Amino acid sequence: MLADLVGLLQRLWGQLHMAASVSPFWQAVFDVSWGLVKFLLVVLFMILNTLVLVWLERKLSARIQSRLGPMRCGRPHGWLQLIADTFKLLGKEDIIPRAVDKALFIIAPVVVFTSSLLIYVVIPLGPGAIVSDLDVGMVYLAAAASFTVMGVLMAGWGSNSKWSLLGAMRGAAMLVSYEVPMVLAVIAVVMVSGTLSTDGIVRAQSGLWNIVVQPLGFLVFLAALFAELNRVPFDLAEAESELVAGYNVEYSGLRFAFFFLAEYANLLALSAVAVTLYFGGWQGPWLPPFVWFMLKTYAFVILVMWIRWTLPRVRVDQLLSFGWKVLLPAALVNLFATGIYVLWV
Amino acid sequence: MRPATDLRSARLAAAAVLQAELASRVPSARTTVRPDGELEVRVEPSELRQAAEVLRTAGSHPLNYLSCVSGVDWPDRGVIEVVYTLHSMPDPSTKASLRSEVARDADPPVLPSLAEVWPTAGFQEREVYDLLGVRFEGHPDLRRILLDESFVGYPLRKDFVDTRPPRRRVTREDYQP
Amino acid sequence: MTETVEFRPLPADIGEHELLVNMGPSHPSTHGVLRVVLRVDGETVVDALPDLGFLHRCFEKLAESWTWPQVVPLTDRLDYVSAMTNELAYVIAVEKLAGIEVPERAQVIRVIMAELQRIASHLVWFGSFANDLGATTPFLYAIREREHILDLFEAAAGARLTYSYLRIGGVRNDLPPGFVEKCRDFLRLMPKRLKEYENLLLKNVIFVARTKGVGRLTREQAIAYGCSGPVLRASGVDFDLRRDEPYAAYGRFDIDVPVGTEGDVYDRTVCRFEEMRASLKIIAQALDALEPGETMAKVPRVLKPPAGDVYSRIESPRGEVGVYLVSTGGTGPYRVKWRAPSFVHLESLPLMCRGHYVADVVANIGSIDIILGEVDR
Repeated sequence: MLADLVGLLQRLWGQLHMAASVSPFWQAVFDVSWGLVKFLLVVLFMILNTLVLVWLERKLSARIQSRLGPMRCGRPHGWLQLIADTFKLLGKEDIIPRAVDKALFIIAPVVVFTSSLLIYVVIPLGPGAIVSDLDVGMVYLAAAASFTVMGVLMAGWGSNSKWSLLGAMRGAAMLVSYEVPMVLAVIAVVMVSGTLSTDGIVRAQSGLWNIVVQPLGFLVFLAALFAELNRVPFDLAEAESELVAGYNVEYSGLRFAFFFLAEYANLLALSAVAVTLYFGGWQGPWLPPFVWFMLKTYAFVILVMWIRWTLPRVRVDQLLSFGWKVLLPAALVNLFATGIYVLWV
Repeated sequence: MRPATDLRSARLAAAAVLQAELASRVPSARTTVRPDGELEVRVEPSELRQAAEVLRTAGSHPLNYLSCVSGVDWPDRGVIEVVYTLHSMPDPSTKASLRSEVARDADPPVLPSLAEVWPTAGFQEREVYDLLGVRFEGHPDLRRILLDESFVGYPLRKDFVDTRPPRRRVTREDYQP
Repeated sequence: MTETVEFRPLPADIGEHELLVNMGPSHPSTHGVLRVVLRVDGETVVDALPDLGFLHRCFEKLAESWTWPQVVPLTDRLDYVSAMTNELAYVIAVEKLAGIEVPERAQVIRVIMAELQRIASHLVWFGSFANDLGATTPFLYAIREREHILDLFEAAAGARLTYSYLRIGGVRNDLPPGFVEKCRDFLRLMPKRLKEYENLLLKNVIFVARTKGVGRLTREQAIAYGCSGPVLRASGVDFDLRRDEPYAAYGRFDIDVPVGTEGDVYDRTVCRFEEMRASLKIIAQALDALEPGETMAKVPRVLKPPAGDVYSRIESPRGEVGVYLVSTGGTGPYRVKWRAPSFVHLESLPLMCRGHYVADVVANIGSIDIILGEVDR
């Protein structure tokens, strides 16, 4: 029955497409509306997954710490907990402290949320199932991922509080420093796959997943991932026990919810990117590609969460020296080795 | 493992040595050796610093560890007594208490600070100042430590009366009249 | 005469590139209501000034108006994480003043309780210290282990945190039946768990990088600043009151004393950790040494020790807890001065923090293991 419905929708889309090819104007209208529909689907996908991810984090962290986690809100196992939390956050008073820089304070959560949304545009969920198959997908990805820095800085500066400022400065330094090894690792993958488009990279892994060809690159990417995601061991921008929530210390209610959800949306997005780059995206036998994609992404997410709940936090100078003195040389070595591999193999 | 009698005899011996040392260098100090080996030294405020220097350096196990600075208010004698309890570290064979009394009605009662001899006296002398009102001359940072900066009075004195206006109990009417 | 200045640091002290950041009193890592005023130049701490007194509850003044036995519950609430050792410090001081001889069984029970308390306190320290550094999981494990100890305390004393179990002259009641077996079960369980925590945290590369070389106190500084307990031992001073100035029944047992070399946060961590293992050994010896007997000496109903004063000190999990008691022959103390190790250690906090980063301030405070209850009394 589901297959019938999908077939019906595909025929409908085909009919509309043909009808719109009548004139450039209607073509444009069709393209824009189809783009909007895809965008809404992506937002829906993002929000649903974020809800699942937050629940997963709470349950996973609880089990690691020999506790139970949410159990009551939506028996069994509290799957409605996040809905309840979202309603609670929505219902809170919108407090804007008097001394803040209002424009920055209000825009910052939006910027952070949008930057994670932007990444979803180039993630292939299945063969052809991508919002926009850009030819320069990976360049776009690197640019979109670095957008978060601006949001963090806006939040830290706009909050007009010394703790926020310290957190934002640390966060900005960290995000910028770890962009470089991350992009270098991505370039190595691009060299191996021969294309910048994400769909192309996935298809190029039909024989061999990139993790086999790029083990060092993957480790570099993984370390840089933790910094981009602002998670322990690299969660300095937010270091709860030191800076009391760092750059988002002055936020409450829905604005705080935005930061919170953005963090998890980012987690899912970058995990999906990691899966796309190194683990073959939606490739896999027997099961439908979308299911493979979700399985792999969630496995990666669980790995990230597991590390988060086990390791302590790195200090800011150690973080920066690790990024510049260890990761960057490793990424460069990886790049050269990949170059040699591509030329001679 | 050190049996108690061994420690006591070591302390008694050390106390005797210190007593002799003090007798020669700070003659006005009145010293007593307690049965458990503790040397009680009573000095005038003007000799306090001198006695402290002697105790800090004399003997085979010098008193390099200041454990506690306590202020005791004796209104019937009209003095505040400050007691410095000293031990030797790491071998605890020497124990002494250096005492000095200052008139409690002086405005203000002043004692020389021993923070240069034993740096740990810093916070502890501040506490005596805070709660009993004894000023320590030469202290690097004499301010109130436990009480609020705006507090008036010295609570640990026996005749302290709290003159702050009584605080009204906050009731539900304040939130929902 | 020194003019007292009310607010430090003075505005003139703050340099051009410096920022004045206020850490606490309400802060997740200050372990209570401690305020530390930091002068920072970027991320480097130029100076750290502790501001105390937010939890001052007038213990010493209160004790002057109560009777000798009534002060015991007050002492519980000073260092609330380690209540048994507080009570022990006070009752030993009163017994010295009054010349009361405590029966042997009570002494051994006191040792057992104090060592169990030491492990419980170190577990709390371990969990919250790991939490400060970002690893939240060890806290839950430590609390899970501590539950066993609290169950033992609840069986013996009736309470989980503030016991009023030790009394002047002995202990309130004998150990309940089944206590010794449960205690031995606990002793069997702990070594495996301690090994697990060691692998999880102490051997973790990130943890070692965060704590080695941070907050160094040299041997001379440690002695000069009155440090005691693990802070002193980590700086290379081999001194433990249980072994060198024995009280209760400690003189009969073999006590391992871990001593560090560098005096940094890592050494203090390892010292406290090894102390947990040493405590397990002492408890095992004490359980074997339990002989049937009286648990309370014959103490007059209204206790009036002769006039005099005494300074008595014991080794609490935090360091040297000292009680200076003055008696004038009355029903209650004339003066009780509580020498709290955390209070004295805070004086060396600026020494440890200068020149390091803000994140290291958190590590330093955690390594001193302060409890504001005893700092502010």
